[in-house]
Parts: sequence; structure tokens; C-alpha cells
Amino acid sequence: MMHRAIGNMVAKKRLVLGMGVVAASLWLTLAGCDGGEDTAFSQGYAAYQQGDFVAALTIWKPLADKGDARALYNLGMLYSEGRGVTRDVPQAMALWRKAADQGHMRARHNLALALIANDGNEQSYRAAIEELKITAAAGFANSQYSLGKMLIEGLGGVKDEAAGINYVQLAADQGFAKAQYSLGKAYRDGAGVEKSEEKAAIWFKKAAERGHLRAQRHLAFRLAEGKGLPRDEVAALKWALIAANHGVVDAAQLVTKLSQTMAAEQVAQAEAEAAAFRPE
Amino acid sequence: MTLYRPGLLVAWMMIASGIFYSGLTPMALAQTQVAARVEAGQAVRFISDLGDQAITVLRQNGQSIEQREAIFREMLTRKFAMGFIGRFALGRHWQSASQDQQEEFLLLFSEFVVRNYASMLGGYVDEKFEVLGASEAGKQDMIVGSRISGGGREPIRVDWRLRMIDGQPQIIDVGVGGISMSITQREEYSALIQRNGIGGLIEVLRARTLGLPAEGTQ
Repeated sequence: MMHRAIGNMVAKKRLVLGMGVVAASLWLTLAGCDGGEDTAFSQGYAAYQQGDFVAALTIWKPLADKGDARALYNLGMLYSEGRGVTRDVPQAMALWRKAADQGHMRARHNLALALIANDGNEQSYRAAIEELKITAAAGFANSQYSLGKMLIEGLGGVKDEAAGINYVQLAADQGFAKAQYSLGKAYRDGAGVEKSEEKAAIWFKKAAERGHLRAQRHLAFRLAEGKGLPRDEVAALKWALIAANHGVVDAAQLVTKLSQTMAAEQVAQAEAEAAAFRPE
Repeated sequence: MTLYRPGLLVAWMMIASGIFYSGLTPMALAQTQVAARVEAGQAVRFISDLGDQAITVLRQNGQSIEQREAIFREMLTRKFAMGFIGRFALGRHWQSASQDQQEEFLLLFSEFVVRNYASMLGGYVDEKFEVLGASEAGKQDMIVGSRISGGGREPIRVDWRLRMIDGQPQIIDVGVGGISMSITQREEYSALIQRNGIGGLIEVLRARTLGLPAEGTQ
């Protein structure tokens, strides 16, 4: 009985899947008729967005075979995440390499990260650094941040804290929350920059406003203590509530501590501000 | 087979005994060891809700797949005992890591874990999530079996190991195809740390969480 139920389920699944592939093939044919590779690419993306990864793969594969850089990149995403196809990171990297060779920067960025994440040796770290230098120069905040952290850590045998901080700063200036938080910590600890509690607080606040949980936690404690910025219990409670609602344990303890000594209307104000908070 | 290596068997026994949730103090350890087991019905509901949320959120119209996955990742984060799993994954290296490294590791590890499972749970167009039942494990855990199918994949058997932590059921391990993810991660991380130190492991996790998404039409 159970086997039959599973069999029926699999048969239905295959039917639905088959329909998706047929639809994808139809779109390919139509796209071929009017020469619209852009149309086919867009249909592949629509299928991807709908979770029909098999259809997306079916559409993008012929485009990638013709050398379309966007299709190569997206096909690499499917292989890298095992969506619509068995996960195959070396295949994803090969596709990204082909796209990167055509100047596709996203592909170059993801290729660099795959070199770090999957090969993880000195040679691949150095290769990743070279790729990231290109994408960082093209303005990708993710690349600037990744490269900055690698140079700070000295992976790949290249340790340059000052250059690393500069890259992190570039990403932070673009509003990249992880970089803003990282910069906050650098100023807090005087790591690669002159120690400054004020600058640390500024960057923690920027990251907190963009939704960075640890930055929210740090900002709450700083506001409660008046460390690097003026003491403000209402704002402290607001940020502590936001962090506590996401499971940060010591933020919850701070909520309890502050709530015990603050006036009821101040607590209500902080609660209202926390409830109204939306990351930038 | 991963589970039967002697060192890893010890590691698995440590998960079962609650050592890695202890906060490494005898009092906390004692408290963990006497914690009540998640009831079977509650455990099944917990995982059924997870499956329902995955399908509801990840298949929602009107938002991009990246937005849907971000919402689901936030929901998923609350269901995992990240501190417990992260410490277990780092093993003996947890103690030698600086406070800053511990914090950074847990942040990245948490992000990586939810990305991984959100991707596994998917948003596939014809996805099905079936709960198969619950069974007791060790002195305090409950394992809920499930099967995920759809998207042209072979069905995947996923076992969720739950423990009552701070009065709430939380996921402390996930078994995929009979292999414990916690133990697999611990083994992989140990090798990475031996090669490039904790900084190297953190860099790998960072690389796994900073990839750019698929490209759409401009």
C-alpha cells in the first residue's frame, strides 16, 4: 500500500516535471524562431524564480553551450547548489571560469570564493586573491569585503592589514553590513586602525541599522553604557529588544536589566521603536 | 562509513550525552542531562511545521527566490540550537579559539547551516515534505524522520534530532541519507583547522556565505 502510494507520488512528480521540461523546450523553440536568446534567458530565469530548476537548466544549457556568459554563470549556480541537477562544484567552477574569461564579474567573484571554499590550499588562496582584486576593483562590495578579510588574515601567504582594512572600508562605504560590523570591531580593538570607541560605535550603528544582529547587540550595550556615543537607555532597550527577539541571549538579559529601572513610558517607547524597526 | 569510526563514535556519544550544550560547566551539564525529552507528538508537529513553512514561504508568489529564502533562513535559524551545533562542530578547537574567533565562527556557521538546509528544503516547484514518524534517541533526544521529494531529485531521507533546550524543542543534528551532518562537519572542520588554523576555517565559511545569486534580466 505504502509502496503504491509512493509510486503514485513519484509518477505524478515525473508528470509535472515532464510538463516543465516540455514547456521549457517550447520556449527554447520559440526563442530560436525569433532569434531571441534574451527571451530564452529570461524564461530560464522566470522558471528559476518559480523553483522549476529543471526547466531553468533545460533552457540555459544550450545558451551556455553557445558561450552565453550569463547562462554559463547561472548554470554554474545550479551545479553549485545542486538544483535541478546533482551538485557538482568542479563543474560549477569550470562554467564560472568560462564566463569569467568573457569578463563576467559575478562569475569571477563566485569562482574566487569556490577556490577558497573547496580547494583551500595556499595556491588556491593566492589564485582567489588575484580574482578578487579584479572584482573588487569593479566595485563588488562582497569581493572587497572577502579580499579585505583575506589580506587581514594573511591567507595565501599575503598578509597586509592596512590594505585589508582599506578594502573592508570600501565595502562598508557601500553599505555592506558585514564590512561595517567588521570595521566597528577593528576600531574597537585598534586592529589595523587607530583605536577609537567613537568610530567603533558609528560603524556598529550603521551595521545595526542594516539589520546586522551582532552589531545590534553591541550597539545596545554601548548605548546602555555610553561607550563611544552618548548614553541613551531608550535606544539601548530598543536595540536590545531587536537583538533579543532574534535569540541573542545576553541582549535578552540587557532587556531585563534595563526594563527594571526605566520608567514605564520609556519602556513603551523603546518597545514601539523596536516593533517599528525595519532594516535599511 | 563515517558513523563507525572510533573517534567519531565518541563524538556521537558526546552529542547524545549533551556535553556540547553544557557551556562547559558542571552545573549546566547536570541541568542539560536531566532535561525532559521532547514528546513524540510535539517533535512531529515541530518538524511538520518546518516542512509546511518551507513550502509556504519558499513557494510564495510576489517575491524573488532570494527574498523568500532570506525569510525562510531567518525562520530556520530559530529552530536550530546553533551554539550547541557550532561548538560540537569545532570540537576541542573551541577552547583554543579566541573569543572573537568563537563569535565570528558561530555567526558564519549559523549562516552556512541555514543556507545549506534552506537550499536542501528548496522551493522546488513540485516539492513534497513528508514526516515519517518519531523515535527516541539516547537519554534525551527524539529523532523525527522525513522524506523530501521533488524538483527532479531522488527522494532524500532526512532525520532531525531534537532536544529540549531552554524549554523549547531545537534541532541539534540532521541526518541526511543516514549520515550525521554534525559529525561530517566536525571531521571536515578538524582537517581544515589542521591545514590552515581556525582563521582558515573561518575564511572557508565566509567564502561559502558570500556568493552572489543567479543573474536575472537587467
